[in-house]
Formats: sequence, structure tokens, C-alpha cells
Amino acid sequence: MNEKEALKILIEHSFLLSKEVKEKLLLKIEMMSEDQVDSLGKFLAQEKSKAIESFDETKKQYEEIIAKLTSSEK
Amino acid sequence: MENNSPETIKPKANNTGKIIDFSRRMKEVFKDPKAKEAGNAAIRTALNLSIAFADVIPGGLGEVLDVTASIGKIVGRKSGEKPDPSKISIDLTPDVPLWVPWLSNIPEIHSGGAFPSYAIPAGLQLIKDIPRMIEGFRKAKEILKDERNDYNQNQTQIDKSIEVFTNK
Repeated sequence: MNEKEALKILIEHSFLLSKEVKEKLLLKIEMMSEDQVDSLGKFLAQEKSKAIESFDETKKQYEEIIAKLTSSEK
Repeated sequence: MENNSPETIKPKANNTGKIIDFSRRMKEVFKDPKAKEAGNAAIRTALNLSIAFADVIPGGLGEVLDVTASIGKIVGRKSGEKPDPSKISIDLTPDVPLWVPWLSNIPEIHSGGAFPSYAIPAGLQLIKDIPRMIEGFRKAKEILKDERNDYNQNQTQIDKSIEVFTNK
């Protein structure tokens, strides 16, 4: 898999970017320089790695906050 | 003219972690209306609690903030229009009627500023904002679940793509 193919996949599966931004970036991939592909690819790869690592922890944090807010509501 | 160049997303190495953390926390807030409303309710709660705590000290900064917030309520409310609690505005207690903060200031005069008057509109607003925050965090949890499902279904290609940029 080359960098442009990898970047395309990361853009498509990013939950950080809006649909509009994804569409614009996907259209621009072929025109991007190596440096641009590398920078954006590294950023999205780190973002996705961080998301994967923290799925359980983030879910736990949300549940704790919901529980605290629900108990303070009563 | 809007600059959509990916160059603008180039982060400095030492700031990348902070940018990612911040972006991850904010993404739900900006993309989903319910989560955005919850984010605004959370910001409003933090500001209201700060003013309410400062207002406990007689003659302190809290008095100024309290009156400023009450004035902001009048300024921020256009005549004939209902305030929109889903947005952050100068009115930090959009669900509370205009007369409440002013009426709650009356005991301040008799107590020499010792009465924590801002706690009343702030408390009433909090009662309205808590369900919004709960709804927003539930929505954020759903978005997280969607992201996890998407990863589980496409794990191989996502992992390979990450590897391309992390093993350099």
C-alpha cells in the first residue's frame, strides 16, 4: 500500500473530519505533494491510533459523567 | 478566500498530542447538534458556577460579575425574541426569566453583599442544562460506538494505513 492509498483510507474512516472536508481532501489527494500527503497522513494516523487505544477509556469517562449528571438531576 | 490546503493542518511535533486530544474532545461538539448544545450547556455551567462562587465574597469581584451577567441578560435578549439556550451568548441564563436575577439581588442590599444572589439564576439554569448535557454525552457515546463499529469492520485496512505513516 502506498502513502496516497493509505491516506485515502484514513480520510474515509476519519471521525474527526466532516463529510464536506473529506470530499474536498479526497479530490485533492492526487494533486498533493509528498510532504502534504506525509503531514496529513501522520496526523490522521496518530488521531486514529489514539481513538482506537482510548475507545474503552473514553466510553467509561462518558458513562461516569452521565451517571454523575443523572444523580445530580434527582 | 477559504484556504483548504492540507498544509494548514501541519502540526508541530510537540503539539500534536495536545491538538489530537483537543480535536477528539471537540469533534462531537461541532458535528452533532445535540452534542453541540451539551457543550454549550457545559461551558455556560462552568461560567455560571464561577460567578456564583465569586459572588459569595461580599463586595468582591462576584458582585461586579453578577451585575454584569444580569445586564448581559438584558443586552443579549432582543425584544420579542426568545433566547436560544442551544447557543452561547452574553445571556448566561437563557432559560431564566429576566426578573429573576434582579429580584434575587434585593437581599444583597440588606445583607451588605453577603447574599449569594447569582446562585439563584445559576441554579435555575443548571436545572435546565443538566438534561441537555446528559443528552449530549449520550449522543457522544453513540458516535464513539459508530467509530468503534467502523474500525471493527475495516480493521485490516485501517491498521495497514496507520502502519504506512507510523513506521517512517
